[in-house]
Amino acid sequence: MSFLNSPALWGILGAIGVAVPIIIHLLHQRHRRRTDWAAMELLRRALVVRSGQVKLEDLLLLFLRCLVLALVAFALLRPTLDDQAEGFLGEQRVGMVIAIDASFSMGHGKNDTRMEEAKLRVGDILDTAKDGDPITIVLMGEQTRTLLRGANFDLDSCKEELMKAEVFPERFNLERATVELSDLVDELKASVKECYIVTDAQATDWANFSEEAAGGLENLSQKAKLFIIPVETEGRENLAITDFSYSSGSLGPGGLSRFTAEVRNFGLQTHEGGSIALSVNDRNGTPKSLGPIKPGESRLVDFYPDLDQSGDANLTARLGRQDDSLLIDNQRKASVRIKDRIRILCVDGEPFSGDAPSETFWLKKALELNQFGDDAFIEVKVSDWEELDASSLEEYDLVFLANVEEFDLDSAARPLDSFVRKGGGLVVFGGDRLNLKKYNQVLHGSEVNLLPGELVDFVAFGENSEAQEESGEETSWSLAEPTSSHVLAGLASSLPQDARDTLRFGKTVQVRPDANSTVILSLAGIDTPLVLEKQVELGSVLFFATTADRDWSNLVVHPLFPMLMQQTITHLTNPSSGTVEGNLSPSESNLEPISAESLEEAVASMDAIVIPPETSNLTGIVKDTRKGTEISRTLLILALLIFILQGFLAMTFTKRMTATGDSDLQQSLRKHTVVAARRT
Amino acid sequence: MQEKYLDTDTLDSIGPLDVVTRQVVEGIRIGMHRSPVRGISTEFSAYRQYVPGDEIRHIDWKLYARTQKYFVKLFDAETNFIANLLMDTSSSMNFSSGNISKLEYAKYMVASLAYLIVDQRDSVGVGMFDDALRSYIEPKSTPGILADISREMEKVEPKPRTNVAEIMHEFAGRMKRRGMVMVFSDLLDNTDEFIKGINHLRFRGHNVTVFHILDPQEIEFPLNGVWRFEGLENDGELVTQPARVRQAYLRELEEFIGKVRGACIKSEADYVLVNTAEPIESVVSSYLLQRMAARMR
Repeated sequence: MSFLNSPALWGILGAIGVAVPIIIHLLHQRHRRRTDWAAMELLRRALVVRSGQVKLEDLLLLFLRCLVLALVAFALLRPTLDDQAEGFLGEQRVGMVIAIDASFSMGHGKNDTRMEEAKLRVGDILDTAKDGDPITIVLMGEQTRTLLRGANFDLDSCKEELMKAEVFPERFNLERATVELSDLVDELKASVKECYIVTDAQATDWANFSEEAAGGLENLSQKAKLFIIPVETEGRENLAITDFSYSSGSLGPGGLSRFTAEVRNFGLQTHEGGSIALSVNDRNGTPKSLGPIKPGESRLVDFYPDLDQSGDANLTARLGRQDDSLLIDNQRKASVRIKDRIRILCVDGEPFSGDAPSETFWLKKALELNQFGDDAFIEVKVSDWEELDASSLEEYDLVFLANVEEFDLDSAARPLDSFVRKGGGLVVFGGDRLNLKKYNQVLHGSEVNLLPGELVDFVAFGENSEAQEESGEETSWSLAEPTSSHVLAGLASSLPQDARDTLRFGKTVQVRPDANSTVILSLAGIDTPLVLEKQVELGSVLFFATTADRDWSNLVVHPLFPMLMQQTITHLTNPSSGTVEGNLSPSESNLEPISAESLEEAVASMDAIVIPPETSNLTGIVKDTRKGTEISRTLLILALLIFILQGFLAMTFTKRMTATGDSDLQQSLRKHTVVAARRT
Repeated sequence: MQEKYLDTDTLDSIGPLDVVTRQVVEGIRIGMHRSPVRGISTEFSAYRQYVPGDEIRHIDWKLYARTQKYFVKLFDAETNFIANLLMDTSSSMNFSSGNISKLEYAKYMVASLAYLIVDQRDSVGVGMFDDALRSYIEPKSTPGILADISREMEKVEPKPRTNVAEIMHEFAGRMKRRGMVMVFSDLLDNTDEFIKGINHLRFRGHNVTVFHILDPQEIEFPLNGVWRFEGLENDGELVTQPARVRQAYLRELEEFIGKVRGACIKSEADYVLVNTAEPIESVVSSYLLQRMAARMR
């Protein structure tokens, strides 16, 4: 037996209810009055006759009243019997949560889509419901959308709501779905609880559960009878754009930028003759031929759009091929912001560095590059640290700090923090003047936390014996092979190995990266990053663990340096370049379903029932699995009958002790007087 | 009247009525009561067939002329009588559910009846008893006895245990002449012994009237809730719900009263059930009226 309501809460309330008549009885017993009495012998004889019967009657009434309250409390717990006994002890109320996969893959199908198939299956399920059964119908995508929630079953209204079901441009989030379904199942007040997941059972979702999803399904199957009902449509050919984003280049006026689209064939046959076209702000470009793409193969296509106009540019890549059965993933969007002017502040922490050019010299060269005069859209201003006006930071898009010794929390760190949080870009270069302790306290503390990691120490090549041994005859460190997918790492990796190896670093600042920061480039032979990034609300902070001059490395005279600086400008002024909200999840485009057998194996430990798509007798299968009867109504009827019985008994006992025979007795007593007197 | 128990209102209500005994008692003084000694008064009573020894002057010649048989006339003699009023003063009589206890009620009745008896020139004596005769005022027909009765009754202090039967036996022996005995008690005692006492008095030719005095609460037992009853005769205590045993109690009471009443009838004694909720004058008047009616028959 199980209970639909909380046994703890209702159990306590029931116990209190049962205790009430007992307490009243005891209080009644305690509340006794006294009187002198003359006819004790008569009373004693009466008691001998009645006391046993009275006690029995009292106990019987007390027991019946307690029983009534106990039954009501028990009924409020809504107990259910596990076996099927409908019509005898109670009624079988079936609560259903029906979840329909509404991810965009459910839109697949030339004639009837998978969503239409799903609706038919849901119709079969609803055929098993009776009027009054609580029904919940939800659409599951990235998030849950409710069509009906705990509504009493009515076939017409259910079908009406079902007609509203549609596909959303989202993936099916199984992890989130199981959690939310579990909550919805909890809401059901029924002796039998069932949860149906009607899905196209994509292999990407169901073949390998995450632990979270497995746990969610396990939990769900413990709360309700879990049915997984796959639906299918003919074929699964699908060509999709799985990625489209800014790759590299300058996003300024007149700059050249590259966008790359990835087209993937998720089908079982080779696709030929397809094309892809780019449109910028709804201006269509010339389609490019894709050529044949084999099953499972991806094709990268580069676009170099003409982005002369300042402002937001919306780019859309579209497949020209329109004959696959899932069109929603045939296009993908990207968005960039083209600025007509980018203002950069370079702060020199060591303005007087002797004859050698200062940090800001190299930075200015790399940032301005070959722009001249009024055409220059990148405007670089150089400032000494002592002259820096922190209140004017908002006039700039980017701030470069080169070898600045330390910061004051209020006058510098807080304004910088505010600048970054509002979307500004901050680039910090190392140097001998850095007071690492102060940096950690002020820029990596609890109040202001801008640095991507803790600055541990200065490390010069040769000071670390292990590093020296590892590097053999080398006198400096080189750049490690880039492994990050970051756009800056892409630049480094685009260089030939030889060119990359000419980059040498003799000294660095050892950094312990934060968990939420990204290591972009690292040094070879020493376990410390060279370039790190950290996102701080709308802005980003880049830290270079080397100097912006030639003191610690030859980076500033290496061809990579201007490329890095230019890309840094683009990256920091377009932090979201290449990504657009609403683009579809690529995994959802893979229409490959998991077989019913594999699905059964996958959920074998969860006591879930998988009903294959070819099964025609869905209604019968569902009905056969039902068991469990709620007996609340029976208990309430029983309580009512006992209540009536005790009322009848109480009335009988009372009448017997007060009314019945009293008038006769009084009459008889009166007669004694009269008769005796007459006799006299 | 100045005495406490000779209430003017009560006596005014009763006053016009005469105390009339059912049977004729012997007496020296000529009064309103018929004497069993026939032939000494002028009031015709009945005829009896002549037997040798009867006085010739008592033969009714007119009747002889009609019937050719000798009958003599019998005449009732009117005498005074002696009434002994025995009042139970045990603790049980002290019970009261209202304004007046059974004992107080009995005192008023005794005083009222004593007044009426003395007022018609008969003699009255009063005895007060619990488990023994505590005081006894010898019968007198002078009005002064009323003050004595009232004074004695004021001194009464109820004590446990009633033994009505023994008192009756004692009076049966004490009263040399046949007279009237009125017993005022709740009779919550050994009923069988009481019946023997009645029989003993009747055997000695006394005219006995039993006033069975009960409180309305004892008669109706109307209590509700849980009560603790503490016996007035040192007979323990009981806790019960009166409503639940009411029926059984009333049956017991009916049986008890029926047994006493039956014994009285069998012994040709008068039995009067007195409910202290009823006005005293009403009870006494009713009793006297019944006696008057009996005489008329």
